[in-house]
Amino acid sequence: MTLRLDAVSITLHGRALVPALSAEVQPGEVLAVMGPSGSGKSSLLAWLAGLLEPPLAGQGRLLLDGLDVSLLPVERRRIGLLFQDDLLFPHMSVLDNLLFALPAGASRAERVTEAMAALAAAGLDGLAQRRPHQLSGGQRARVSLLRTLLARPAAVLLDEPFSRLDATLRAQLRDFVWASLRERGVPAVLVTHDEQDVPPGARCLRLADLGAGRA
Amino acid sequence: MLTAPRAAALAAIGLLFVLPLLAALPLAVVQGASAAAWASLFDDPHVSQSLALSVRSALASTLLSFGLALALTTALHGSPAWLRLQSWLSPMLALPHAAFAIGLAWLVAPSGGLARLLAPLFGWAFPPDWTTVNDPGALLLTGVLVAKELPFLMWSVMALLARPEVAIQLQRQIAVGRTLGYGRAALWWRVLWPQWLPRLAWPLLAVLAYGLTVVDLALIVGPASPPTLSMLAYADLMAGDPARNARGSAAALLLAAVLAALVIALWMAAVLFGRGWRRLAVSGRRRPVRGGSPSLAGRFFTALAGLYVLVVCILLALSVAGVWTFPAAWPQALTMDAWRQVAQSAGTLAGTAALAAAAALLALGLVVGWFEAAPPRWDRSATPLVLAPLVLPPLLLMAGLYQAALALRLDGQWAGLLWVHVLVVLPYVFIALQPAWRSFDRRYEQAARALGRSRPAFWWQVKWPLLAAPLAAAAAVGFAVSVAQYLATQFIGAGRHATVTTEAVTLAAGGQRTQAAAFALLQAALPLLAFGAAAWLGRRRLAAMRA
Amino acid sequence: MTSLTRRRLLAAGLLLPFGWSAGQARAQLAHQALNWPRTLAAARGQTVYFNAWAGSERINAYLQWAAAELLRQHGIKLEHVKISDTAEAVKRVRAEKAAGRTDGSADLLWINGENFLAMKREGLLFGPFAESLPSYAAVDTVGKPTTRIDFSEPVDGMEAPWGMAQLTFFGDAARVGTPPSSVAELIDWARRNPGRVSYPRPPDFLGTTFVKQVLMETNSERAALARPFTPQAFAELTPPLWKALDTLHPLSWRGGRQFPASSAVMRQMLADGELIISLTFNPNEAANLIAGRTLPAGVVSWQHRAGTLGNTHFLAIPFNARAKEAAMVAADFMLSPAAQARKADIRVWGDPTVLAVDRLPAEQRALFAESAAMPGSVRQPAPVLAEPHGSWVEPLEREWQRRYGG
Repeated sequence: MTLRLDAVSITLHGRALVPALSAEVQPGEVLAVMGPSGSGKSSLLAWLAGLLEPPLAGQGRLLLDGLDVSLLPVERRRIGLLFQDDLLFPHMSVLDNLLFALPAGASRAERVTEAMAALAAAGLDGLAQRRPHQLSGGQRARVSLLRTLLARPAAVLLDEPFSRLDATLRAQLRDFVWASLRERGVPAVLVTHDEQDVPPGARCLRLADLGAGRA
Repeated sequence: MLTAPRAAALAAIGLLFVLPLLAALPLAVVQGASAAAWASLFDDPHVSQSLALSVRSALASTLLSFGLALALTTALHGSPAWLRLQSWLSPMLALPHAAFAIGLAWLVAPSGGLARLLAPLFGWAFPPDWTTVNDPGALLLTGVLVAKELPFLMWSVMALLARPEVAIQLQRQIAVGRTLGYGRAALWWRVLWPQWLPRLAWPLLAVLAYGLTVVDLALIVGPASPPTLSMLAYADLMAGDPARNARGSAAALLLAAVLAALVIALWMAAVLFGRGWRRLAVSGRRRPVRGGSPSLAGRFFTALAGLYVLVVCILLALSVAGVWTFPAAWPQALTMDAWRQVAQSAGTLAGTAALAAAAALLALGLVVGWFEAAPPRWDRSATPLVLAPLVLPPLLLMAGLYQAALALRLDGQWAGLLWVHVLVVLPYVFIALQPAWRSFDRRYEQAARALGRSRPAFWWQVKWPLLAAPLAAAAAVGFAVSVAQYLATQFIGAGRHATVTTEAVTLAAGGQRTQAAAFALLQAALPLLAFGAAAWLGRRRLAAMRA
Repeated sequence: MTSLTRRRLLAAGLLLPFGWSAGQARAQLAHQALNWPRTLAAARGQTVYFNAWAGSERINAYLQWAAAELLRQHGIKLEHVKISDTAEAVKRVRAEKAAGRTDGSADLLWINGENFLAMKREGLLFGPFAESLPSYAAVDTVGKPTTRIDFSEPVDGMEAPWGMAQLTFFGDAARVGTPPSSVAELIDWARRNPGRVSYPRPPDFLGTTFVKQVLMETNSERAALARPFTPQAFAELTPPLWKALDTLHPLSWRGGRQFPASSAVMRQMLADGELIISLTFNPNEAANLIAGRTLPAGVVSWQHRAGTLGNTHFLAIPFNARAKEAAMVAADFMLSPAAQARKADIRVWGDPTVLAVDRLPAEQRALFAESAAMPGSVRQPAPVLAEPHGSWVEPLEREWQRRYGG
């Protein structure tokens, strides 16, 4: 899947927040969007996901393999979203969280096998029946990424996913994330304010603070 | 650490609430514990039928209103209709159950509004032979219960969703779930409700307990031959004969036991059902997103609100109607007798308001004192005890409290009356305040302490002003509950202190519908004012914070 | 508490160690009451808590008038404690006695029948006092024997008669046609007008009275009914009753499967047009309601030709009343011709008087207006039948419940 932004701009109360952007992200590649707080990068991500609410508004097109998904509702876009908080469902076990994301169609046994395999590949086997609150921060972050990826997204958006973790965990998780994305050939858009979060060789978009929409 | 002020606060709470409750219960139970009482109870051939009616109406109304509350929230949350719904809840809650029942009963009675509307079409000169009011299957009773409990459950759900931590979780989890390909409704049923249903357990229990033990509603619209078990118990407890009193106590105890059994059964059903539900929830099936639901749910709620408005209009009409024979569409004679009487009872109004305000404020003080003074472990284990008055049959409780009041020579005294009202009001205030207190950010206090402020200063200057809206709402709830008390005022007040409700009930017993309607409206007015004041305070506080 | 009561309690407390029983103390107090001027003086300034059924605003208004008069004439404050059932007050007095309280919450009670029986037997009443009241001399004890025998139990002066009650039927003249003047005629009428007559569900007092009325009318040999209940008498006398009811029920409202909860509900159903015939204890109730514009003007009242059950309702004083003197003065006032006349006035309440009007002096007799002329009142009063013994009530109610209660 190739992800393409075509003249995407974000406005706040009608005034420009993010100027028209165009970019293309190949499968397995990462597009980093950087800028200081208030520059609109989270809003951009929200528009890409389809979750943008008034008074913010967005224009432009979002193309996945040539198909304009910017007119589709969130549920139909198949674009995954990773936040700073892992947002695992606390009342479900780790396995159930993963099963929730997996598409239907296969038998329950087959889906369980796939989920367990993903856990094992991430070094998290044995944790299937634990609840999220019983896991460490790093483990939760990895399960959250697995959940996002098991839903077979066409693209993945990451909203400062590493900012809650300490330096060591950050490094481990970063490598894990880029490797997984590359393995599945999923294009990603990363929003961050930390240069170190950007994978090597990734395209970088910097949003300057234009002062638009601020008092 | 148990400092002196803390100990004093806890002691006050224990003395004023816990001890009387613990003392009243055995007194009440003893009355119904004689073998003769139970024998005569089961001797009655209609007891099993009465019990079945009680259980059926209570269970059906609870499950139905609960399901509707969940469905309405799922459909309407996040849409503009949600806010409109919120503003409708206070007036709906303020209308007393009995007032609503009187109005609705007239609407569906064979000689009532609906029949008069249809009379010209069918050429009826006399009321048709409908079995609507007092129907033997308790269907109308169930309907009235659903109509009255739904706003209460919606209010509980809203209180839950308004908690900051819940609100944030809600937004985020919906966002994540939608990106995983699930529609909003699916997310509510699979992810959100399973998380939060346990927190709705107490309101649900309160609703079930009320449905099982309700008396005044059953009197107006419930079956008569045989009546529900709560009616039987009430009639027996109110009779002059001690043997019948004992039988009534036994029936009330039976109801309490049945309530416990129902709770256990429901809990087991929830556990078993929950497992199956979980498997379904993670099956991965995503249904296509439809946009139809909100309008249907919105229309349903509009219809319910319309029903409430209609009932109030009916009450107004009834309160001035003199002779109004079927099939006339308008009363043949108007009379202001009822309102003249209401004007004469102005003293009662003031007395009722004073008592209710004192009880609400005192209960508020006790609850806040408890929240601030009690160690967390005590707090958790105390919740069942605090909520006990809600689920115990009120008849039993009042009988026991009356015995205690007699012994303490508090019967007939305003102090004794106030004390009982505080006891009854406290659980509601507790439920209303607990979410706000539990979710109050501890860091405010830490910041204040770091700035060198004492705890009381922090309370007065920071915490309580921030919590002004929940405090006002809780006070309004307590006020409304106190106004609606009949048994407490009659028993412990020894009939010396008349409130608007005692007037209304004794007039209703005399069957004067005109007076009953006028006093029902009066009964509604007081809590409405209280809720209005609380809402106004809440809005002011919100505006102040936004500015 | 007034200083008087405290002094008396102190006196009682001092006397108790000397072995005075509670009964002797009570007799002591009752003896004191015979001295009327002293009673009047002691009563001045006292407050009487009058526990009375408050279901009718007309009655409540009358009591307010009485309170104003008592304050004006004797300096007594009469507080109407509104209760929805006399049993409430009975239970309270009983509980107070069990708790050993000599200062009670009620000073005067509106009472009759079963409740009186229970209170008298359990020693919950103060007295005897009624026959010592000055106004008692005018009571028609000969023409109205129920003023001295309440439900076949001798009153013994433990309660003062207040008003008369007689089972009366009423309904819209246009729809009733010729009023049925016996149970048999009622059944015939119901055959022609199915579903338009009913009676309150026992153990409602009025409903039980209707059942007793049918019992009386279906039995020519009624001697056993005046005596206490025995199972043999029950087995002998009740079969015709059940047979009559079995015939009547299918023709009555909701096919006899359901019954209205009270006479108040029935009155409302009559006013709405759902029922055509209703019952009451007050022969002037229909007239009173027509005057108050809650019933249409076409309503008439009648009683069964051979007679209907009647009784007297009374005022009693609990044993532990705090203002016994004032209560007695109030009872005496309620018995006075002025108060009785106003009570019997259909425009005020319409409750028939217990006094022998024809024996009163002329100017007091004039106070009692002619009630027969008013629309809705009974045209041809029927004789009053004496109630069966009070012990018959419970077995009748139980059997009725067993047969028709479900």
